Amino acid sequence: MESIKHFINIISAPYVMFPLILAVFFFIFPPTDRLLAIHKKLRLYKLWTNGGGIALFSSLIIIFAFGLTDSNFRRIVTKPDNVPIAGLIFLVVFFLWWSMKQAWENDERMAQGQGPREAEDAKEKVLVWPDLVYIELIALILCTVLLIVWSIFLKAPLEEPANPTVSPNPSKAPWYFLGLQEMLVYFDPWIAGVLFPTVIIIGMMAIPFLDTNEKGCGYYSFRERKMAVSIFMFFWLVLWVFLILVGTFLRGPNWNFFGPFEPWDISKLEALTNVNLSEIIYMIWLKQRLPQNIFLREIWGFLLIFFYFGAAPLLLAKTFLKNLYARLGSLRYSLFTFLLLMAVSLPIKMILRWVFNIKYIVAIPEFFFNI
Amino acid sequence: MNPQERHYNINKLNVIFAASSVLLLAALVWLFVDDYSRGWKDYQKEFRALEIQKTRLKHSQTLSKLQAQEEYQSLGKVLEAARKDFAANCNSKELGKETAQQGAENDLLNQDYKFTKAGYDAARYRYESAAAHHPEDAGRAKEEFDRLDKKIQELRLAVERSNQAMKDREERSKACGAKLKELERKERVLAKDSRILETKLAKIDPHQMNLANRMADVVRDSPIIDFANPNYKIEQIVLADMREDLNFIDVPRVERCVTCHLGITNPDYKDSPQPFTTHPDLELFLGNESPHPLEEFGCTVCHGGRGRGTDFTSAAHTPSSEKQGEGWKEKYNWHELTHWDRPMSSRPYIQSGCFKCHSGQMVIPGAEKLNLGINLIEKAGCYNCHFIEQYKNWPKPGPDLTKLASKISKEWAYRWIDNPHAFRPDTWMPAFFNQSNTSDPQSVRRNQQEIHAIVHYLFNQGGEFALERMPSAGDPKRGEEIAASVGCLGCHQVTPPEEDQPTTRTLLRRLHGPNLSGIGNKTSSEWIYSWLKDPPQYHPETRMPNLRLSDGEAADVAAYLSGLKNSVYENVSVPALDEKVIDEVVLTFLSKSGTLQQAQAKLLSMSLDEKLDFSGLRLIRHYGCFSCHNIKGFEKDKPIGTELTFEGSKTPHQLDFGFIPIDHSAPAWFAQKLRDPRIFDKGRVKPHDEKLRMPNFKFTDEEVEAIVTVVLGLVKDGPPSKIVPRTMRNLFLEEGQKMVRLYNCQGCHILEAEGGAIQPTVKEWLIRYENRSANEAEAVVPSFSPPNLVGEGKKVQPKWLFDFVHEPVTIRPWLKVRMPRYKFTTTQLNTLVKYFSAQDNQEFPFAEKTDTALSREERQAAEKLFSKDYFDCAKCHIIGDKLPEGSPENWAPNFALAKERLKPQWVMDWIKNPQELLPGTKMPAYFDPTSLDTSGPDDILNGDEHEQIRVLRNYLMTLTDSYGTPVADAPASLPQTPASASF
Amino acid sequence: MADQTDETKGILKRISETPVWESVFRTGIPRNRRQRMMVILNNVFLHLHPVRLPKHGIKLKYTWCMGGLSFFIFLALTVTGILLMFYYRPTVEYAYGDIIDLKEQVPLGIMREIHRWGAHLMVIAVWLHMFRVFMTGAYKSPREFNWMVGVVLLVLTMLLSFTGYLLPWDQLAIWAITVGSNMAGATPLVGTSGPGSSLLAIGDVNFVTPSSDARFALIGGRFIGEAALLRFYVLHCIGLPFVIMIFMIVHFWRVRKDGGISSPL
Repeated sequence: MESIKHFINIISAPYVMFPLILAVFFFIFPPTDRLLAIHKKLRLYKLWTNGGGIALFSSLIIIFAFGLTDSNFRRIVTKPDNVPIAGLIFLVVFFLWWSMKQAWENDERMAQGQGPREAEDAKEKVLVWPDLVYIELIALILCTVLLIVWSIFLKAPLEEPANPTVSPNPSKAPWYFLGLQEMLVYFDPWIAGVLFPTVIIIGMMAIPFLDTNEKGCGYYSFRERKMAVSIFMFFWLVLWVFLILVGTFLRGPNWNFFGPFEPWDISKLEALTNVNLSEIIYMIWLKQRLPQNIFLREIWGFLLIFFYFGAAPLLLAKTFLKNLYARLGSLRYSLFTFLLLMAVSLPIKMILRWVFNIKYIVAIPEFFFNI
Repeated sequence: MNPQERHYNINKLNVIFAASSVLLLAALVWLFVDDYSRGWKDYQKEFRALEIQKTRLKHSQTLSKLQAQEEYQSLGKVLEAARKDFAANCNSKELGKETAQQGAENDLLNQDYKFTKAGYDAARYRYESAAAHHPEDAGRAKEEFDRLDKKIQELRLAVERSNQAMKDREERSKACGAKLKELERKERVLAKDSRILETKLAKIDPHQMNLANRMADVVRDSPIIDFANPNYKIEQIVLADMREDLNFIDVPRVERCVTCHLGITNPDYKDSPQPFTTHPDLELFLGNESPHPLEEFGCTVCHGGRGRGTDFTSAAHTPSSEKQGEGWKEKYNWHELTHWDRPMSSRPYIQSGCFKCHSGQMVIPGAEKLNLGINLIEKAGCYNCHFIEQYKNWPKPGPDLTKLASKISKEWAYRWIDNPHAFRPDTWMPAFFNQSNTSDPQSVRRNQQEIHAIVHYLFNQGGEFALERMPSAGDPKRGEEIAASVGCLGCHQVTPPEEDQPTTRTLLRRLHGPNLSGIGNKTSSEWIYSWLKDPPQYHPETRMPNLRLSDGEAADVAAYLSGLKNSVYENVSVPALDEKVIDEVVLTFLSKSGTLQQAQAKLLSMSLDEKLDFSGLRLIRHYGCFSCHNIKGFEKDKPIGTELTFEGSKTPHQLDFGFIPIDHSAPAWFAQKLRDPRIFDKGRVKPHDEKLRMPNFKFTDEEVEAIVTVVLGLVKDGPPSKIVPRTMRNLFLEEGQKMVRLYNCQGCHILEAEGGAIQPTVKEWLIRYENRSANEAEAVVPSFSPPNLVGEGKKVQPKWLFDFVHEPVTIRPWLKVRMPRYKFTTTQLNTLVKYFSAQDNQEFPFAEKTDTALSREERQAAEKLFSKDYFDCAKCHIIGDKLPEGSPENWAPNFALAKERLKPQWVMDWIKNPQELLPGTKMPAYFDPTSLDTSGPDDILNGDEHEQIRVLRNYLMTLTDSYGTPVADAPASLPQTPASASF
Repeated sequence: MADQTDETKGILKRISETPVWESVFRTGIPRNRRQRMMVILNNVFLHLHPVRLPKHGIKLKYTWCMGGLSFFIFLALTVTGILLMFYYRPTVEYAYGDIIDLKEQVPLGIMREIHRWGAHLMVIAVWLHMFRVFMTGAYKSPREFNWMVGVVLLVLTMLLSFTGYLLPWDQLAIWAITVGSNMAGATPLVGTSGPGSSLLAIGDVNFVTPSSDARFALIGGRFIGEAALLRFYVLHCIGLPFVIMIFMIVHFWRVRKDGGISSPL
C-alpha cells in the first residue's frame, strides 16, 4: 500500500506526468494521417467504444476510491471548494468520451460512405412542443435536485475573518484560475497573468476564422477535422484542465509540489536553483561576468525569441506546414502559427525549466520585463 | 416523414418527468426539513419541559402551603358569604334596571345641554357681529341670545342634579360592595405567589391551556409559520459597546449562547443538567445587580468562543481534557471548529478572561487561580526578560551581583549557577544549564566552561565591599529567639521546605525572601551581620527592610544564621577550566562580528583572562542574567525575551510547535513551554548559541496552570474605558496594592482581609519562649502579632501615618515583633497613605479640624468617666510612660500618641462600638451600640451618652500635652525581656 | 369539443372557456399539430425555440442540453443571489458576520450553499457547452460571430464568479482575490510591476504608480479593503449580470438567426 502511494507520489510530479502526457497525447488524438495510422494500429480507438468508456470510468473511480482511503488525499479532495473540481474531472472525461464515441461512429459510417447519423436525422423535422421543451424541463428539474442535494450535504466553506497581515500558505486563486497560477511557476506574472489570458481569449475567438475546413459542421467527426480537434484538445485538456488539477491537488505550501498522498508540510524546502539564459551563456559557458549593458546581456534571449516567432513560421511554411500555408493564405497562416507558437511556448518553457533549470529567456528585472 | 413529427415516446417522457418531479419534491422537502431541524430547538424543547415540571412543582407547593394556612381557609368562607350577599342586595336585577334607566336620562340631558351650548355660542357670535356690523338686526339677535342664555342656565342646573343623583347611586353600590372588594384584595395578596405561577403555567404548560391556545402552541412552531411568533426561537444579545476585534475591524458583539443556555441567569436551575445550569455565583456574574450584568457584558468577552454560533461545535467549545473531548464527540458530535482564531477558553483557564479588564489589580476577588498566577509572575520576575506592559517599571527580583566577592566564593557561585535547586529547592533562581536541549556530552562540556566564564566575569568586574566587624561572636541561641520574635519569619523560612506543599498566596508571602536554611554554607557571619545592619548599602534596590537591630542583636542573629548548614554542595565537584572549549565559546561570539579569519586572529592574541572576561560578558548578555540582577556594565540593556503584552491573542500558527506531539493549541503550547522551555528544540539541528535560552523555573503543574491563565489573559482586545472605571480611587488602590505586594506588608499585617502569614510563627514563639500552652497561645496570638490594619484609613491621620512608616515609633511596647524601617521615597510613602485613605473612602489629604476644647465641668466629667470607678481606662492603656499592671497581652496602645495619631471622628466611633471597627479587638464595649441612649452612666452630664463620648474623646486628646511627647522607645524596665534589648 | 353540452362539461372545461382564460392562454392545451406550433409562437419565452427543428437537435446525445443548463443555472443564481442580497451587507464591518448569520440563524440560510455550488456548476456547464459546440463544429460559418459572443460570455461568467468569491470576506476570499489582482498589477504599460510602466512617464513624473495602476483600478485601493469589497459587490450584483444578460440575448438571437441547432449540410 505505502509503496503504491509512494510510486504515485513520484509519477504525479509535473516533470514526470507532463512529458508522459506529451508523449502519449498525440497518439490518442492523432492530428495527422500518419499518427492516425499508428493510432489505428495500436487500436487506441477502442477507448471510444462502450467497453473503452466503462474501462475509463471504472479506472477513474478506482483511483478516487483508493485515494480516499488515504487521509492526506481525503483532506485535500473533500475540502469543500475542491469537490466541484473532482466533479469536473468526471464530467470532462465523460463528455470527452461521449463526443469522441459519436465522432468515431460517424467516421466509420462515412468510411462506408453512409454519411453521419445526424445527416439522416436532419432530414426529419420534429415539433419542439412537446419533445424538446419536455426534456429541457426534466433536465432543469434534475439540475435543481442536484444543486439542493449537494447544498444539503456539503456546507459552503467559511474560513477565519479576513486578516490582511496573515497570509495563508498556500494562498490559491479561485479554482478556475489555477491554470494561470500554475503558469506563474514558469512565466513572469505579466505573461502568465495578462498576456496569456488575452491570447487565449483572442485565440478562441479566432478559431472559426482559422479553421477553414468546411467539413465536420453539424455532426461529430474526428477524422474530418483531425488537426482542429487534436489542437483544441491539447490546449483545453492538457494546458487548462490538467494544470487546474495540478494547481488544486498537487500544490501545497510555498507552492511546492506535494504528491497526492504527501502531507502538506509547511517547512518543506526545495532548492531553487534556476538560472537565466544570459547567466548560462556568460557565467557558465563563457565564464565571464555578466555585461553591464542590458541589451548586450539579453541579446541571446532576444535572438531566440525573434527566431522563434519570426523565422520559425517562415521555415515551417516552406517545410512541414507547406499545404497548411497554401490552404490558409499568408495572413491566416501567420495568425495561426503565432497563436500556436504562443501556446506551445508553455510546454517548451516547462521542459526548459526541468531539463536546463532555465528561469527566464530574457531577464530585464529593471523594467519588470522577463520572458 | 412521420405524420406526427414526434421523436420521443411521450409516455416514457411522462414517466421520467413524474419521477424527476417526485425527486424534486423530495429534495425540496428535505431542504425545508434540514433548514427547520436546528440543534438548539431540541435544547429549547427540553428546557421547556424542565420549566413546566419545575413550575408545576413550585405551584403545587405554594398552593398546598396556602391552603394549609387556616387564615386563608377562614377567609375563603367569609369571602363566599360576602359574594352571596353582594349578589343579593347590591346588584339585584331591578336595582340594575333602575340605574340603567337613570343613566339613559342623564345621557339625554347631557346631549341636550351640549347642543344648546353650541347654539348659544353661535347666537353670541351673531349678536356680537350684528352689533359691530349691522346694528339694525342686533336687537333680534340679542333676543335670540337672551332666550338661549336663560335656557342654558336651566339646563345646567338639571344636568348637575342628574349627575349628582347618578354619583349617589354609585356611592351606595360601591359602599355595598366595599366589604367584598376588601376581602378579595386580601385573598389576592395571600394567594399572590400561586396566582403568578398559575398564569405562567397557563402560558407554557399545554395541559393548562384551553383548546385554542393548545392548537396555537402547536401551529406557531410548524415549519413555515415559525417565522411569525414561535415558542422556540434564537435568543441573542447585541452588545453595542463591547465590540469584537475581527482583525483590525471592530464589529458589534452578538451573543447567541442564551439560545441553548436558557437557565443561565435563573437561580432555580442550579442543579439542572447542562446546558441549562445557572451560572455560578450570580451576584458576581450576570445578575442584574452584579458588576457584570448579562445585557452589558454577554458571554464571549470572558469565555471567548464564537458568540454568533448556535450549535455546540460552531460556538467553538473547547474541552478541558482529552477525555472530555472524546465524550463530546459522541454526545454532541463535536469537533474542534477549524478556521476560528479564538476558541472558548477551556475550564482550567477560564479565569484568564478576568485579566483583560482587571489587569491593574493585584487581587481579583473570585479569581483565585489568576491571583496565584499574577503573584507567581511577580516572584519569578518573568516581566524582566519578557516585556509586559502591566509590569512596566517593576524592580529586578534578583540580588545585586556587583559586590559578589564579599559574599560568596567562586566555587559556590559555580555550583549555584550550575544547579540552584539542589541547594535551595524553593529558590526563584531558574536553572539555565544542563536542560533538555543542552544535556548531550558536548553541550555539557560547553555549559561547564560557560559557567566558569560567567563566574569569572562576575567576580572580576565585582566591586569591593568592606564588611563591618562584628562586636562579639554573638550567641546563636539568643539569635534564634530574636529571629523568631522580631519578625524575620514574616518573609523568610529557616527550615527546608516540605515536599509537595500546595503553592498558595500565603505560602508565597512566607517565601518573599530567600529560604535561609543552609545560609551558613553560603556566606560568612560577618557578611550577614553587615547585611542585617544596613541592607541597602550592599544592595541599593533591595526590598529587605532594616529591622533596627542593635549591634548585639545583629551579631546574635548572624551567629544563629551562620549555624544553619546545608552541605549538599560539598560533594559537587567543580570541573577544571578547559581552554579549548573556552576558545570555542570565544570564537562563536567573535565570528558574529567579523569574518572567520579575523576571529581566529583575534583569538590567538587573547590571554586566558581576556578570553574569560570577553565570553563572560557576552554570555551574561546571551542568557539575560542582567534582567533579574544588577550587574556592572549592563545598566542599559533591553529585555531579551519575546514581548508578552499581547501573548494571549496569539494563534497556534504563530507558535513553533517543532516536532512535539502536543495538542495544537496556544494554552497547550504555553503550558509545555513553562514545564520544559527547551523542549521545542527537540529534533532540531542547531549550533549551541542558537538553541532556546529560556531557563527552567521548575514550576509545579498547578503553578504552570496559574501562570498560563495569566498569559492567556494578556490579550489585545481590551475593553472600552467606559467599562473599566479608571477613577482616582481605583488608581490609588492599585498603586497601593502594588506596593503592598512588592514589600510583602501582608507577610505580617492583615490587609484587605488577607495576610498575617507570620501568625503561625508568633504562636510557635509564644509556646517556645513564652511557655504558653497551645490553645492559650492560640487565643492570644492576635494581640502579639502585627496589628490588623482593617479600617486604618479611617483610624489614623495621614500626616502621622506618613511619619510613622518613614520612621517607625513603638505604639504597642509589649509586642516583640518590630515594624521595620524601609527606605521609602516620599512618592512611595504618599502612595501608601493614599492607598489606606482610598480603602476607607476618606477625604484626602485635607480634613476639617474638629474642635477638641473642654470646659471645666466637661473636663471633670471626663476625668470621672476616665477614673477607676467608671471606665478605668488606665487599667489597660499605657499613658505616656506609665505602664498598666497585669500581663502584657491585655495592654493597650499609649494614649499619649492619640492627639497626632488618631482621627477624632474615629475615636468617637471606636468608643461607641469597637467590635464594629476591629472585630475581635480586646477593647470592651462600654456602650451598647444598639440602644445607645440608655446604655451609658446616667449620673454624668445628665446621662447624655453622645456628650459623654465627645467629652471623653476631647479629654483623650489633651493627654498628649500633659504627659509630653511619647517616648520613642519603651523604657528598659520591661519584664522578661533581655537586658540589652531596646526597641 | 363542441359535442359536449354546457351542463355535462367539467368545471375545468367551463373555466377554460371564460373570456379571462382565453385572453391569457390563446392557444389552450395543444391537441393537434397547429396548436403545437401556435403554443410556441404565441409564448414570449417559448418562442426562444423554433416551431420545428431537425430530429438530431432534440437528442441529448447531440446537444447535451449544456446551453440550456447554463442559462437555467444562471437564472437560479440570480434568484438565490437576490434572496442573499436581503441579508448580506457589503461593508467590511458586517460582511463576515452576515455570512455566519446566514448559516446560523437566517431561515433557509442554505441559499448561500445553493448560490455557491451553482456558481461552480455554471462555470463547468459553460466550459462543457463550449466543448460540445466545438466538437460538433457548430462554430463554422455562418455561426462564427455567435461563437465569439459565446467566448465573451465564458469570460463574463468567470469574472462573475471571481467577483462573487470575495464577498464572504474571509481568509480564503481576500487571499484568492489578492493572488488574482496581483496578476492585474503586472499588466504591461499600465501595471506597476508590469514591463514598460516607466514608459508612461513624462519627465520623471511617473503616471503609473501603485495608487494609479490597473490593480488599483480593479480593487479600488492599494490593498484589498473596503473599496474592493464594495466595488466587487456592485460588479457582482449589477454590473456583470446586466452585461451578461445583454450578451445572452444576442447569443440566443444569433442561435436562431444562424439557423438554429447546427446540422450537417
